[in-house]
Amino acid sequence: MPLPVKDSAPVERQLLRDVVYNRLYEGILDGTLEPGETLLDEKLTAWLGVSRTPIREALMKLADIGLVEMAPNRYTRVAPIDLRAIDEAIYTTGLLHEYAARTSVPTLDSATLGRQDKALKEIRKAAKTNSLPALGRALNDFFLEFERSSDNAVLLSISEGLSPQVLRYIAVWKQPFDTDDLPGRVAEILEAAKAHDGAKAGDLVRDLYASSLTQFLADYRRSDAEIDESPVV
Amino acid sequence: MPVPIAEAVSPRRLIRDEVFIRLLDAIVDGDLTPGEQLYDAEIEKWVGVSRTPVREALNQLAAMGLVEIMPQKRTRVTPIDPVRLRALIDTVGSLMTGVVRDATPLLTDADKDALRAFKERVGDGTEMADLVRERVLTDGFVNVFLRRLDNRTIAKLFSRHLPEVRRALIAAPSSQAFAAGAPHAKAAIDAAIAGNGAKAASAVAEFWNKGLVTVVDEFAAPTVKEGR
Repeated sequence: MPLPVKDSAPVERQLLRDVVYNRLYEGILDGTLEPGETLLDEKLTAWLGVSRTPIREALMKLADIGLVEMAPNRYTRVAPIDLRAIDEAIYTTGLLHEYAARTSVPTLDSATLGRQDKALKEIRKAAKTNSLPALGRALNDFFLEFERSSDNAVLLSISEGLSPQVLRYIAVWKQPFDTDDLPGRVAEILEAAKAHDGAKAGDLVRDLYASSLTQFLADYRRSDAEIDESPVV
Repeated sequence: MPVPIAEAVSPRRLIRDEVFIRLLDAIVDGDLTPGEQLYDAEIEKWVGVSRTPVREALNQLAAMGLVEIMPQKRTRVTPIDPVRLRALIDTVGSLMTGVVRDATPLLTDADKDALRAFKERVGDGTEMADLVRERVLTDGFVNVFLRRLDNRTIAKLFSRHLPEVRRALIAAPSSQAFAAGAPHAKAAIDAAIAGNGAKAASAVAEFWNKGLVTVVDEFAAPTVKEGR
């Protein structure tokens, strides 16, 4: 009898990989796995109870979004907190959110605005209790609604890929976005969204994220001479 | 004696990177055509390396969206899909707009010379495929701003997504997209040289929105009759 060639095997493997991915992702963002911590295959297989293959696949995906660093034959570790990389990601995210807001706000539906209302409430609550991880998640949820409404799968996937850096950012910055009234600033953006004023929403998003560029130019950007000596990535 | 491990790493990486670059160039330049089936054995023979670096390079290309791997079925060059292409060009364009806005105040005299040279080279934009294939668009324009801004995260996003845009511009039957965008690209360069970031940014947005993105129309899917 010929062996049945089915689609089920790859599909199940895919799911397992995603389960592992999600566990590791959460573990890194909530600090269970610490920045710089070495990730040994044997320990991960024991911890998660799965074989090496889905773990390697998940690690490669995490390396792709900058949460894990892999140096073949040397180490695999949780990416150390890299303030420059985080700042760069925030700036980039700001550009994408600004564009998403400009293009999707004019036709935003009420379900989306409802979810943003909810996210804003979470932002207020988290800001009041100074719960930084919750603040990061709520903020991310709020802005990603613009991308989700944009009907642009590439825009959404790039923005989601940058999300973990945004979530890490909130935890290490003393005063996120250089404002003492983050909920108020987000509320203004939501008001513009409700008025379907894409230009205004885009401008407000840009203003909110402007501090990341200021900081980048002051603290992280190299001198022109250093830039000229090194190749583009 | 302990096994030295630090140095053993790089040769393999280099091979994989080399395979990756050769495949990437072949796909972008159209030597491997959209939809073309890829066989590991043929690639191994062509590039002269073993299976592992070939698979790794293919996985990397798959992550970029240029190759599709269906386990146990087939691996092929991703066909050009108008919906994805539009989403891609819009997104890359929005990043480029921001990069130009914020890098313009940082441009050096050498950067401005490079932009002037690009402006000369563009002409009326009718040599689109050559301009893109010879990396004139990449090195003479996009990278001038990217590099000066020095944001590596955005630079990585461009190295990941710009090749797919370039592939479409090279594969397009006509140069109309670039020709339509050329005046805006030139306006952007004039504004950038004058140090006006906001004006340069809006002209770049038009270079993308009124120019490059119209390449999508050249790949519009043939209409499928209903009920089939």
